[in-house]
Amino acid sequence: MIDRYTHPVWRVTASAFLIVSACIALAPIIWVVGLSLRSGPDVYSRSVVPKSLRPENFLDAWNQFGLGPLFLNSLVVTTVSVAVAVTASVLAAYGFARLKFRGSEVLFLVILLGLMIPPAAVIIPLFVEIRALGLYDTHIGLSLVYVAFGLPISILVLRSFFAGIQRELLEAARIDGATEIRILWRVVVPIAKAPIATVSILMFLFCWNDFFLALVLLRDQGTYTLPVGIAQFIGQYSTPYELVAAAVIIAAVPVFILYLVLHRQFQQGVAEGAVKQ
Amino acid sequence: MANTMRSVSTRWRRTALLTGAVLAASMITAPTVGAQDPVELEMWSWNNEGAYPLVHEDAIKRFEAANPGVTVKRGQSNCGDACGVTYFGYTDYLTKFKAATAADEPPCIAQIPWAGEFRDYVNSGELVPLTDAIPTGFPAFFDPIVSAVSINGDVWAVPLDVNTLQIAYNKTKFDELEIAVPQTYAELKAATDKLGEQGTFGIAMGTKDKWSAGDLFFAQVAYTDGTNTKLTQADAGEVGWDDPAFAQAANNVAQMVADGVIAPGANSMDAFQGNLDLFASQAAGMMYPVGNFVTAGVADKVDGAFEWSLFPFPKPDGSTLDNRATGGIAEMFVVTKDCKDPEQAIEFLRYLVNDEGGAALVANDFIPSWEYPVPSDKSDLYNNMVTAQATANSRVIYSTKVYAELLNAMQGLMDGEPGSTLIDAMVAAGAQ
Amino acid sequence: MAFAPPRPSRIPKIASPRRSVTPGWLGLAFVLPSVVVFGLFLVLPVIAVAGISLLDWAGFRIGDWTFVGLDQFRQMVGDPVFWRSFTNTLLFTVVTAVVLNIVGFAYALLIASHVRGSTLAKSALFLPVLLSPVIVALMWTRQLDAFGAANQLIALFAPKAKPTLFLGDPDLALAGVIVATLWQFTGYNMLLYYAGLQNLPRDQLEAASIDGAGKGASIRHVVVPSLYPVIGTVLLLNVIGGLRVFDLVYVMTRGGPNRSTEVLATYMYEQAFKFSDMGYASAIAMVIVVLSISAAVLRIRWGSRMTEDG
Repeated sequence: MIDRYTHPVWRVTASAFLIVSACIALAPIIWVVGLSLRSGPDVYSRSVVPKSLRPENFLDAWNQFGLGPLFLNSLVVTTVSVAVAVTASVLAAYGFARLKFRGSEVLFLVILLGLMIPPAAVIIPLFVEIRALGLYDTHIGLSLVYVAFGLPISILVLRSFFAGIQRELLEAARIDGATEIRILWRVVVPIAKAPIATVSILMFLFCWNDFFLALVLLRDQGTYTLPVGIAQFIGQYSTPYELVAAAVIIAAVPVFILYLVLHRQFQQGVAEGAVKQ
Repeated sequence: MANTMRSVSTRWRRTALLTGAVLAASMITAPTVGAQDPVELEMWSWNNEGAYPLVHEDAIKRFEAANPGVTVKRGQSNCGDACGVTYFGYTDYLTKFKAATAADEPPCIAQIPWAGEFRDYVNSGELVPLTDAIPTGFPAFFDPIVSAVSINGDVWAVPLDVNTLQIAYNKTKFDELEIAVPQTYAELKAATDKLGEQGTFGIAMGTKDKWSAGDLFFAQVAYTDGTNTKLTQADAGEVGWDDPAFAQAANNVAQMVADGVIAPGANSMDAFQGNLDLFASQAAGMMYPVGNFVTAGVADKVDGAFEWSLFPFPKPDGSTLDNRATGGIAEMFVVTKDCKDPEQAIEFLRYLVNDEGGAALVANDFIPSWEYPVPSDKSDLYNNMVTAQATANSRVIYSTKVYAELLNAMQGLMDGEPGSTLIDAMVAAGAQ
Repeated sequence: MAFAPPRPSRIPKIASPRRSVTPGWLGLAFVLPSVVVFGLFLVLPVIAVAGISLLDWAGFRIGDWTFVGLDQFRQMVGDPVFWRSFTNTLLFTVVTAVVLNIVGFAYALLIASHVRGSTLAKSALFLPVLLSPVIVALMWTRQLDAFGAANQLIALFAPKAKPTLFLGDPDLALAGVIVATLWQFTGYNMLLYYAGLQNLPRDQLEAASIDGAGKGASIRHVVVPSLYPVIGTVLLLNVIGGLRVFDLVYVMTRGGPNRSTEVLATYMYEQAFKFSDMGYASAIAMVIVVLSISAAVLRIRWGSRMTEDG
């Protein structure tokens, strides 16, 4: 097997290389953490090690940037989008994988092509449409767009998992007289935790980190999500970089928590699937 | 076992439903479409920095005190929560304003750039003409400023303040090296060479975000076009973008880069992040462009380490013109066509530029866009800027495409391309 | 954010499900919610973009447009900035796709060997994937400036050298953006390949090692061919990601200096939001869409040929 590299020299070299790589990967992140703690002229200093240490920056960022309401908005928009997208794609994936109907293959292919469309490419008509539906400057409008762009990947991931489930498992439930929706809920979903977690994390990352769609589709300060809210404080001539860095770190906390909680399922979800399409 | 599972899952389902309901409810209530109070004015600006929010806040307080029942929507800025108007960083501001306008939901009052987009908004019929309002209750704005906000024979914006763009120089170092303030390009080059002997760069510029590169070009046009009319004429298609005045200005810039007058690496720095660092750390002896919008920032970073002052961009060798700065409107505001209370919006603008408004501007080191007496306690730097303003040439290109290509091509010039590339780019963009 | 589908590994796969006894409308009912949202907010806008690309429209008032047919595309052919952003996009896409695949595969092999540090590297390399591209761009702008990490590194080997201003140099700026992209997505590619390696047919590998095939030979003749489907999928994901790159370029260089990092998405954005030229912007958007779909079609073709070959 590949893991049978035994020569000690090789193992030491490989270890060293991996540890150096890890450091390179972490360095810019550590730099941002350092910046978030600097104050005064040290913010612009060229020294690698911060000379000042000001944890109050985090408090200032929270208060000055009004992160509380932004956080709530982000949480609402992201939670709803993830919930809707995952629910809809579980249903659709099951339909595509297990309840084939005339034209289902073509329909699935069309949805797959959605994977190729960058949001920026369709922002103009999307905006006009959202506006015409009266959804401009609403969280519902933004969420619907997130869901639409999150569906292709979610359906793709879940469908290939569902297609691989043993038929006997489903047949047994059918003989017991269970409806398809009950089979999906009671039999399929419980064994699909890993791919569902994977899909949820991807969707969460997409909604939580999106800047461009929220910038165009939201109008009032009261509706802003975190990336848009923080961007307000980037000035034309000057920017309080240490506070922006602190705000950015605060904003990233939920992502890290989610990843820590679900990373096993996430990696398994990836591991189970990278091979076949 | 099965029962336990069922009850767990029922409970879970109930929690999920509840959470869903709460979230859905908050989604419906969270968006606030400003329809509750018909007389709440909304104003957008991108100047969320420096003292601008203070000036806005001052006007709001006076306006609201005199007009009970009418409020101006507060925003969030560096002067604290609920201070000033609604702010958004410059580039994103333009995107947002465009989207809101297309949705017929623009703010009543909006800051607008003095170049490019302004004419597009006027021509698309999105703004309210202010020609009839300007004669009553507004001060007598400087003539060139009025013409800068006039398009197709109407006035479309209220100019709040003006700025001048000059070169900041390290006075302490200049004195030390016995360099006099340069009056001509030859003297500027000699000064740079002298600084270079000490390992110090000449003029620090930051052209990554492009706009300041344009001002280097306009500073030359101020001399190559003594009439100060060619930019307007070219915009109107009356003279070509390959006019000798522009060609000469482009060549002057290319020459400066070749002579090393401009510090290297300009394209990698944002104006007032990277280039201010060079100046403040004394790695560069000069910095451009500097006006009252950034003097506070410069003072902050220099932090008393050396004395500094301003001088206008020196004239090209052989020019018979007086030395002059370039400048123009800093903040200006339009009233949008979809505004429900345009009269109230215009009334608010009057408060922004009345006598007390002027006092607030001057107190915060801004230069009002009309004749306003300078108090005796103002700094030399402030007086310098006001004096320079009197002879400043405008720097406006309304054609967005020409302006964009000018800025891109200027980045090329900063990298050593010849002046002709800039002219070619402007001509090509003008033809579109 | 792109992704590859999972395949249930422990459950034996069963060939196509038998002809369904469930009525057709049931399947349709299951997919309906997705199809409605997808159709409204993705398919409809794409069709609209195709339509707008035939118009001259400033984008303010609906109906305030003129039909110009293929004029926008004709203008595109003669527009040097379009071609610049087109070639930049292709260059960016090809380089990131190739490097990410190779480097991701190499790291996957390394961590699959379970030497000390594998777990640390796996977590650390994956961390950047979680960050917003805007933040990544801000970080790397700083790392690539005169005093950033890149120049500090150069100074180690050449203390006398003048600092290299990566993002200010038209020849190096695109490379700077590429480096930031590689940093963010290497971990993701690594994870995908690592997953692929976990699913390799064990018996084949053992057979190869019994045959006495060397490490290099077994990677070349057994591992790589078994990974062809993974390579295809990962390559496609990287290509799609490359073709639509926007945030990184927009924040790091604004497309400059002098258009040297302009890509299709940033040029489209400029046309739409700076020049209000919605028709031309939509025509550029169509180019991005067509390129992406072609990449997918190529992948599917290639995939089926691989299967036929064996």
